[in-house]
Amino acid sequence: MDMDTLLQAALREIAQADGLEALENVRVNYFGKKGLLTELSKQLGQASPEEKPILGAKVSALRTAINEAFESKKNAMSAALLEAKLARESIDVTLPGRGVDVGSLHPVTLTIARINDWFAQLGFSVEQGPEIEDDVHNFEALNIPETHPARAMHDTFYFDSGLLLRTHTSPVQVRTMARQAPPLRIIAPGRVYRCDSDQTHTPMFHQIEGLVVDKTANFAQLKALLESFLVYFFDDPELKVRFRPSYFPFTEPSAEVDIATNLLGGRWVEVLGCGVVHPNVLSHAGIDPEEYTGFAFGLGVERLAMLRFGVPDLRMLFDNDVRFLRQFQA
Amino acid sequence: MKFSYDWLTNMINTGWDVEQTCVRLNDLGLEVEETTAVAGLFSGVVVGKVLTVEPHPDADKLRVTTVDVGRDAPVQIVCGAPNVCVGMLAPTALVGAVLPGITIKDAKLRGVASSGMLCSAGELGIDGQESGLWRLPNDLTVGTDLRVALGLDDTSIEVSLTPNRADALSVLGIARDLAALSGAKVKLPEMQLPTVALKDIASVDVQDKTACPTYLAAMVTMPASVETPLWMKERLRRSGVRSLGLWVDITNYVMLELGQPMHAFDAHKLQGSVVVRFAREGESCTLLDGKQVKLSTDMLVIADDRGPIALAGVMGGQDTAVDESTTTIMLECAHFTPAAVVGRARRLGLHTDASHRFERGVDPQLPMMAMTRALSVLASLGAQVGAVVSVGGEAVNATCLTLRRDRIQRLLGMTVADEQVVHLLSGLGMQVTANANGWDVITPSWRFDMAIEADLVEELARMIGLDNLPKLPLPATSVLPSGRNQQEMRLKQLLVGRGYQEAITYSFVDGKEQAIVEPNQVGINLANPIAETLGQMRVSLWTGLLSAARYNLNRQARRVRFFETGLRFLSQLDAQGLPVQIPTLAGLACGSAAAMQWGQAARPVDFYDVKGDVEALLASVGLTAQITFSAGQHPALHPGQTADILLSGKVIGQIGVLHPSLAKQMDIDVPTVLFTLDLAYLTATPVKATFQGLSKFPLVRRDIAVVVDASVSYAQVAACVGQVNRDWFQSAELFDVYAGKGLQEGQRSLAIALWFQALERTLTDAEIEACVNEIIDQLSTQLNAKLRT
Repeated sequence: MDMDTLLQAALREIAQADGLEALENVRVNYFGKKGLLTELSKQLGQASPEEKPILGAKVSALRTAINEAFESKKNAMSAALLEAKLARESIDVTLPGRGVDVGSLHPVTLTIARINDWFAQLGFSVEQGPEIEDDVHNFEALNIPETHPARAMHDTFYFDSGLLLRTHTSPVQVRTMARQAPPLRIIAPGRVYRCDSDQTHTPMFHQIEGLVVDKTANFAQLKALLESFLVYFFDDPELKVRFRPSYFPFTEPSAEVDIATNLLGGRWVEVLGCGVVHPNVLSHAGIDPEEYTGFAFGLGVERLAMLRFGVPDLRMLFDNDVRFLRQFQA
Repeated sequence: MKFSYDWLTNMINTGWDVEQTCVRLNDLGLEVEETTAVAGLFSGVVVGKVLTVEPHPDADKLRVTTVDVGRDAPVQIVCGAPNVCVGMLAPTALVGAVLPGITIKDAKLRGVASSGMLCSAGELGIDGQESGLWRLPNDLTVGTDLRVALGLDDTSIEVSLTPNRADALSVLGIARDLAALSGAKVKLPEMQLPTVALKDIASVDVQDKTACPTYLAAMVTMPASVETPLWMKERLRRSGVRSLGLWVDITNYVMLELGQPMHAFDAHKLQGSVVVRFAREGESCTLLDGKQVKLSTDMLVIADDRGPIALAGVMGGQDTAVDESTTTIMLECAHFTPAAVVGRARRLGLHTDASHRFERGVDPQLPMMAMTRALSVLASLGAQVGAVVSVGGEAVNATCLTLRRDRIQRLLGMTVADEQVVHLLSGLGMQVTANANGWDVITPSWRFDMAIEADLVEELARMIGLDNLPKLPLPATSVLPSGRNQQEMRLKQLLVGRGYQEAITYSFVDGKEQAIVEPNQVGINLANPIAETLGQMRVSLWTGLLSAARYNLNRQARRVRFFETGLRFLSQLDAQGLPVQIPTLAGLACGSAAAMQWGQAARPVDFYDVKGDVEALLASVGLTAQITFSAGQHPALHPGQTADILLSGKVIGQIGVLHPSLAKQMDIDVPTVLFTLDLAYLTATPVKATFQGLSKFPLVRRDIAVVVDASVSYAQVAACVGQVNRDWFQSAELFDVYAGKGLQEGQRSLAIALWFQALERTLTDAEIEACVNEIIDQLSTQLNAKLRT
């Protein structure tokens, strides 16, 4: 059999092999111990020295050609097999995954976090304090003596011991000033309590108190700070902000801040109270009001949360209904 | 404080309409709560005079009237009001008139033609007047449009005043602030002390002149039949005050107009002389509202020979109250200091217009003007007036404050021109004198809230308008914020990632329910809870969380995972004398272990599900090595499925399965696991990580399975394994726990993978073998463990 015929026969047999096993038989038939190519190589030994290199090269080329055809066929067959296997393994990717179980943060927490983050960037520290307070920290140190009519506005929860549940987060101001020397920049988020319960009041709610004490703190800074905060919080550069004179025993001058946004149909809504720290409050904390000035603000977290998330009823915030809570992911 | 715009414009003419006035009031800090029209929307109603009243031929309850409406001929109107009578003036809706809800047309009522309608006040959208036809005063001109005749195109303005602005609790006070802002002048109402026509003189003795620096009294007599004139009734009505007869009405009128509370005693009911003094031990008084109150010795009273007849500055007494037959009164107009009044009313559960004003302060110079005004109005209505007896009444020392120029700049962040300072403060009635650094300012008697320099700065800010003040950026700071809060948020977010929802429950709970959950702890009770179910401070967060879970289970939620952070309150006191208040992170999981899923068998949540969450929490803040769990006890938890959580041997929390009998008691019918952790340990600044070298040599695993008595905990086994003294022993991992067939009752097998790897070399089989054997020997010696074969 001449080499060309051998090559043609081999290529044909490889092409006709219809499975890995058949292909292997073809391989053995050519490359095996008694295979045709092996035989051909043996015959080389009988060739003349002149013919040997020429024949050798021819046999080697033949071997390479057949081997390549064989490998290529084998790869194609393996690939087809793998493809078929993978096809059998395909799944319904639309079935739900395992362990999809994400909870939610309370809208009050989300609101506090949003506020904390903004003030933290301006160097405000987050401070906390006790919720069962004494009269001194909740009232007296804040320039609200026993006989002050503002006490009637506070609807305080009392204990038999004379202690009380803090009616605002302002006692944290007092405690911080007692602990740290100025300059101070703090915010104090937390629970506060008033003896009041109806559609728009819950006996417990959250406030965030802010305090700056420095040698140059003034009302103009307070205005700029709160205005840019409110624009950030409501994410509304068109937000209108209005400062109205008001009264808090611990600030002088005092103001309330209203906002108007298209979100709320343009009507004015009161969102916070603020003012320049009353000199009596600074003195009580051992800070010289001639040397230092301060400003403070307090905002109701629930009010802001309700406005931001469109919650219609304050009381829903404390029902802990999972259908309500799961709505707040960010 | 509610007043009518019309009344206000009688006292000051700013040229501002209602809307503009309200904007200015808000800018001044006199917050406008509400504005309401004083009458309904109606037209075509005139003042009519009833000329004839005849019975209706076909209806007992109807009358046929003719009414003069100022036209050529009277109109015939069929009327059903029982009080219709000849000669009365009444609002008459003409044909074509539009009233709230109806349009008047020519009609026949039971066969009789009727061309119009005689109206009650209510039918015109005016409340607070008597029922039946609205009897109009006889001095009105017949045929005039009613809206014009009574000035009904008026608006009631209600302002909400802060406690410092008691000076604005009157039309005069409001007018003064608007005058300062607008430059317009306040026009005081006409007043003149009437000629003394009565010989009767009140006998008054003031025993405490500090509490009552001024006491004026005058006798007034007038026939009981004289009614409150309509203009006064209307002003009272538009100010939200009910007409209660002339004697009471005049005191309310003057109070609203000028801000001075007054009181009318029925002179015939007084016995002996009137004394202003503090109550004596054991005294009581029946007040106007019929309530008998026990008086304490710090309560200032007006007394006569019998004893207290009024609580000074709060409320009059019943025994000397005026009634329909009163013809002579003693009119009281006094100044009581805030210190003598504050808190008393509240202690007695009272709040009156008088106490509201006196607690906050009333202009001490006002009584004489108010008395003059009241007597002047009464005299104009025909009253005879006695001489005004005045006790005290000395001028009060004016408050003098110093205002420094640089202080204005420091507090407001802007300079105000000197002339402007003088102009603005003078406008508020202050006497301003320049000094070297600023001004000396004498405040008017009605601005008793002015106490310090900052008050004057606030007045300037108010007059300039807060919105006109500058805005300045906060300077950069070197103060560094603390990071404690971020730690807490990380913990919360981890729990959210593991399927928990954050709850916020009240810090006070039902004491009865808490006693079931936490029987070993004493909760602090509120003295004045809003309800008994919110009466006790929580000693743990579990009572609230269980109740929140039950709320949702009752609404068909079958699986709830909650966490909450907040304080829990113990009865022990800390060094400051406050109850110990511990920041706490607690959670609850009930129902199935995972949300319903097609590829995962449903099973109820168990101890280890939640323990995994807790361990993840602790690991996330770098607390793994120092944490141990040991079997624990809690009355609310399953006695065999409860663990204390210890940090370096100190208990920082607990975890366990809700006790089945408690679950039943609390109506929770699904398996429930609870945990609690003291938050402070988790939010402490975490220990900074230090790099450890990574080995390039092979990691070797050897598995052992040991059989131990069931009473031996895995923690004991792990501790024993951990004792092995090789720096290349990496870790032990439990991968199977088995009990049952092939093992004796009360024994279990623990399969543990042991991992070995040295940093600098390849370990030999021999040394690993030796180490494993040593571990097995130790387990055997210490825990009587046997190698499972």
